[in-house]
Amino acid sequence: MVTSSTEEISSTMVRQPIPIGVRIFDEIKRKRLEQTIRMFNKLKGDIWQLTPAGDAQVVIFSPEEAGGEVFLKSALDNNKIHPVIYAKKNNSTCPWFIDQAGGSLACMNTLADVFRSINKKKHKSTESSAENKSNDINPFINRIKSLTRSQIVYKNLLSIYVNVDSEEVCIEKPQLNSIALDKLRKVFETIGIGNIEVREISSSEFEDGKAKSSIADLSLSNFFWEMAINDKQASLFDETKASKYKLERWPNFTRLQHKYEHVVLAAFFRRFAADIDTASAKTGIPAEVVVSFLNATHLLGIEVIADENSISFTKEANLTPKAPKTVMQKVLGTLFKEKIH
Amino acid sequence: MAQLKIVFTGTVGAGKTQAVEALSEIPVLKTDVQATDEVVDLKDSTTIAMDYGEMAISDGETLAVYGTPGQKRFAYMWDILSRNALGIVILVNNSRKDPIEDLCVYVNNFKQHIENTTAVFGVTHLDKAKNPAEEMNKYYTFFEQQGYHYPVFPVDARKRNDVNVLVESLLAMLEVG
Ligand SMILES: Nc1nc2c(ncn2[C@@H]2O[C@H](COP(=O)(O)OP(=O)(O)OP(=O)(O)O)[C@@H](O)[C@H]2O)c(=O)[nH]1
Ligand SMILES: [Mg+2]
Repeated sequence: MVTSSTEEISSTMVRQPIPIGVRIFDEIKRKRLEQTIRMFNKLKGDIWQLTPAGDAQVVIFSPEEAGGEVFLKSALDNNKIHPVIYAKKNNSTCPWFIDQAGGSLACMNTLADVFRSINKKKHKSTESSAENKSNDINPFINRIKSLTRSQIVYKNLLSIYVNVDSEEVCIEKPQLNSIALDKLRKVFETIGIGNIEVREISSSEFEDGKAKSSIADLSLSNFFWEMAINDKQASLFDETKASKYKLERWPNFTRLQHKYEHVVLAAFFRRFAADIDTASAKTGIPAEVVVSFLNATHLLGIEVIADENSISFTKEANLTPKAPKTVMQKVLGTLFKEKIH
Repeated sequence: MAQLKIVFTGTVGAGKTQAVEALSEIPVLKTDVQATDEVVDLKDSTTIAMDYGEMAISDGETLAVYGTPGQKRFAYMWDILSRNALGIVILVNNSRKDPIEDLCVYVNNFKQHIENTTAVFGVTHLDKAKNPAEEMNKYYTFFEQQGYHYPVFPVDARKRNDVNVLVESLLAMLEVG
């Protein structure tokens, strides 16, 4: 879905979403375009803000519709607006064109180009001011910062620093195995920090770089956990699609956001090796929650594939609770009631 | 039906009294006395018999929350307090000399209760350590070696959230059996 062209997007220098309007009168086409823009935002972070065409900085329109030609002329004269043509072909001097037949991919590619062009202009206008530059931190990095305050991490697994200049996330070499590193890259890609390079470096280089970086010693565990645990539509990150999983350790629930069902899943997978359907059936927790839980533990590096020594949970077996479920419910009710206050 | 209860036990100064206070909706009944012995450098008071708190769980029903004394010389109370408990919460004061050794004292003394019900562990006073994550690794490794599937969390007994997580995971352990 993510094309090579949109992959290069960096949201450096952009602090606020760019207002974009769709001035297309054909209801179906307009809705489709708006949907594509929302998808773009989902993939790349909130880059666009859908607004009425009159308030927008970028306007998608069709010269083939009534009034289209007039709009194009005034937009080209007034260089505050970036007009983007949505049509079968482009007969004008307008540099931005979405091929109607190209589907959402064509639209995303063009929007990625428009974004880069706006970005470049902004960059130029602020480049002269050194102060401006140093304050202009990638919103993604800010996001990492806000999500990774916790000092005590479950496993000291993902300590990083960010080289803002080269837009690199640097990780000390022995910290990650290659599978985890691949996952890390994939996660960075999915959340839209295309050209930030995730690079493994030696310990000494790491120490040097860390000392120079303004953003260092971040632990990404919480960040990844929150992202994965809240993503109910995700498919299993572990591409091996092993038949049975178990947990090597408990997730650190005093520091990680969770619901009671995640705690039950931890208790279950710590005790038994099981496949997703069995875990879901025996605990009564929906399969998509089991998947998001396994994804989150996978990113922490505490989920393991069961071997023949694991105690497997078979389809025939049943859980034997050590207290009636009503007791759990009553106590939980009070705990969480209290939590709100 | 016997009253539902959970028991907080563990090392001296680990925060058992504090945890019972965090959960209880009534003023905690304490048997703290001024410390004169091994804990005197650590804190002013120590529990000699028990702490007792309560949470209302549904119409008229309550969950009793007990704290045991930490010191071994009051160990006769441990068994008495644990009878018929839903499960045991063991707190370990990481700032003591050999916290893993401490942990073993409680695991062994509460063995029968843990087998019949379940247990969860909280490591406290980690804020005093230089590298808390490193400190936690000791416990993870120990649990691995022992083949324990019980949870062990970094905990600050002064934080209601942390104490809640201990109870929450105790319930989850009971549910899984
Ligand atoms: N710094 C720090 N202090 C803590 C922590 N947990 C508890 N405390 C404090 O440690 C002190 C001892 O706590 P208590 O609740 O009296 O300990 P106890 O386990 O009941 O001790 P005994 O009854 O003597 O066995 C209190 O002042 C708590 O506030 C923690 O994680 N960090
Ligand atoms: Mg006490």
